[in-house]
Amino acid sequence: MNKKGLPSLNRYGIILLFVFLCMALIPSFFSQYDPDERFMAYEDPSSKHLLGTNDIGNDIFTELIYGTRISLTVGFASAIIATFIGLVIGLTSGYYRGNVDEILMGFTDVVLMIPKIPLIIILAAFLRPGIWILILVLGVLSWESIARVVRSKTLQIRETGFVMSARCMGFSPFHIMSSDIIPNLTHVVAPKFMLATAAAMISEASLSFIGLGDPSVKSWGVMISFAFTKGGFIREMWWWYLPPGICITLAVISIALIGFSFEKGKQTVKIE
Amino acid sequence: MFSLSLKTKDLSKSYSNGFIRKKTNEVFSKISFEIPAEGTIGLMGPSGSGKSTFGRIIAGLEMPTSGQVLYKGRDIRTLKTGDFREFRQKVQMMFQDPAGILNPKKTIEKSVTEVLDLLNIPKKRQKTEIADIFDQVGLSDEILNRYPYQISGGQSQRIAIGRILLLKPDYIILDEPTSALDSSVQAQMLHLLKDIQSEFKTGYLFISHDESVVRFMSEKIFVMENGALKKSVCQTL
Amino acid sequence: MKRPVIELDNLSVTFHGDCDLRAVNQVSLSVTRGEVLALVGETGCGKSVIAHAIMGLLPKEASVDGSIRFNDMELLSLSERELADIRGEKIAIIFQNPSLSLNPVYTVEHQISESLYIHRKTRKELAEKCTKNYVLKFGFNPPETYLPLYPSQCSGGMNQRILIAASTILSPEIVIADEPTKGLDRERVNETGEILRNLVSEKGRSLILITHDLEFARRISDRIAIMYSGEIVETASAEEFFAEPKHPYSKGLLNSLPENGFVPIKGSSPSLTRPPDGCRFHPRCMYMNEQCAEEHPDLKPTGNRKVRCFLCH
Repeated sequence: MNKKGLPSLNRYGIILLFVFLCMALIPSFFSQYDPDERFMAYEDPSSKHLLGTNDIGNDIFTELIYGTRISLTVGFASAIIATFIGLVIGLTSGYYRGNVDEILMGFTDVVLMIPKIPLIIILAAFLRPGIWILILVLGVLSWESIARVVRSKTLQIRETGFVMSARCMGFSPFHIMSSDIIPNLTHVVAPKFMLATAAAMISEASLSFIGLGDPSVKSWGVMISFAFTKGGFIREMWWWYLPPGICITLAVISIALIGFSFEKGKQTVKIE
Repeated sequence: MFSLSLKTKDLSKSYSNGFIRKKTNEVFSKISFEIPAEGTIGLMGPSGSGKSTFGRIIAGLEMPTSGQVLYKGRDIRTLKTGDFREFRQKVQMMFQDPAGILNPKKTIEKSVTEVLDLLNIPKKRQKTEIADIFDQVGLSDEILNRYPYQISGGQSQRIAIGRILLLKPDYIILDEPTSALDSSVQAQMLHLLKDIQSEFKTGYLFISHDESVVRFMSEKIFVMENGALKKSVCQTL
Repeated sequence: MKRPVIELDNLSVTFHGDCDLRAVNQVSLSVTRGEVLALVGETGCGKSVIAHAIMGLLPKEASVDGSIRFNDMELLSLSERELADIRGEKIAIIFQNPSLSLNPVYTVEHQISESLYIHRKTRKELAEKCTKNYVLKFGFNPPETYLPLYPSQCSGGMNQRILIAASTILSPEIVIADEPTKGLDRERVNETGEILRNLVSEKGRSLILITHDLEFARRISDRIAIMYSGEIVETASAEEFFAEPKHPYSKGLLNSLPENGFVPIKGSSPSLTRPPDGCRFHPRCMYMNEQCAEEHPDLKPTGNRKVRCFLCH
């Protein structure tokens, strides 16, 4: 009943994510240069270049701003794929039960046991490194926990009166799932979606760092990787490798905070 | 052959547990039973006796282990799509928990109109249909825009029965429809159910563990115990 | 007159939210030693809120006015720590829904003896002996076969008994039972009634029974308080009450019982956010007159009882 006053932590999460979204949508508003524009290489931070320049003379601050879009895209896009697959499999499995459930959940358990990062490394080594392939692989490999949660919640909801009576009245399974079950799943799926986004961003960063990302699109992970290989660490240019790291951390924290606030869900005071 | 009837023939249900050492739990076995097209049959039994499962099987929501449910003389599992749809609309079930009987994410209006959409009733006529049915179950239309958590248990239960009435069913299986309600609301509900029956001429199967409620509602009473159905001996009305 | 063990004086509870909701309005009640008071009302009338107020378990958006005196202590002015000492030790509450109130990962023995360890710091052997003796009274004979079980291995009725045993092992002075019979079938209800009755007669304990089941209240209570829309509308001894209820709402409630032919009260309970002016029951009342719609009646004594109705004074 008491809706006012979100916990302040969640508010910070929303503000932070909003800033990152702005950076992703209108990067030119934040930085005066083009990401491909070249200046003197290895410059120290100054009023002209807030975070200095890198090995080929690109402005690091501009790079950081433009990297936001890539990192967030990877996070959200793969989380969308993962949530979609998880939702479909979990719903089907929980709604139809029986053999369908056995097979789908068996399959889910198998996928759950695959070690993610090593597999992605192998895949990345074989496939041509590209941002969309990375999104697809991250998405396709991280839906199992969503499927499990959705399934157990679906099993619960299908026993409630409104689903039972909808079945009794002859509504189609598709109608029941889409209009009766899914709306009641949002409070479990939304936090899972946010956490999947955060996890995908971290995976992307680590993969890019070990050089398996797409070097042509500069995400924050790729930036750290370049700082590492192109002399940023040796020259102790902390303004090159720290900011992208901090950005990843902040973005993940903000997304996780929002996810946690969903988890609490709508709480209504019941008086008897 | 095609006259209205709803019967069960040798209906049995059992659950099996365990993968390697199968343990079979028999709920009830070989029940042959008919629900009359008019009037009320009461079904009593202690909790866990399988009376709800029996009701659900008749409504086609669960599969029996063996035996058949016959609607108009035909096994409901062999019905063709069109006939099955008719069965689905003509045999309805009402459930216990008033808190879960309506989708919490839909307004009352949405919950009611989706049934009308299912029946392909044009939007223009829906308003009058809703007004009629709300009148029937004694609700005012000011609650149409509310969500289920904003109305009382008795009101939820009335909307649920109103939704069912839109389908003009021949049979309604009532699974403990009033046991979660307060006694004064329960009394209102029982009278409403009786009124509806005399107006719409539906057959009721009234499932409850509360003897006084069953006695009040039904002409004939059966008791389910230890997997068998017995006709109740003492019958006072 | 006996001294009351617990006394509520003008207790009001308001929940602050989108709109303020006064769940309990100026309730005064007292329970003497060895007495069973049944607080009867329908869903949403605020009866459970009173129980939670006594136990200090209300959420923080609720504000409480008035006073709750337990012996000579004012419960509302106690700190959370002092309250925690009283809870369980002096005042115990039995919640509804036994299968949710018991922790599924502990054995029956642990659940029952837990409060001995926490409140009394009892030694293990002594606590075990104590628990064994205590559960005998609840029909767990021999105790050795039941104590090692987990709640999921017990039936609903057994869980109910375990729950009652666990909340009363410290022999509290007052037991509050919040809808102890909800969702139980007749036999279990009778069984629970017997256990509660025994609990009281045994040590001169008091019991506040919160229920919507008039039948059940009739069987075990000495005194009855009927609540409607956050207020007490009638208090009387159980005998007198069932012989002749005075308040129109009480009459209606009794008429809706099975043995009286399920005669319903018209209309439905008002919402607590916008209670009607005047007497809160007047829109549904058969005997309503002009005064009822305008003035709010007080709870006034008539004979041995108190009724909140103009027609009875």
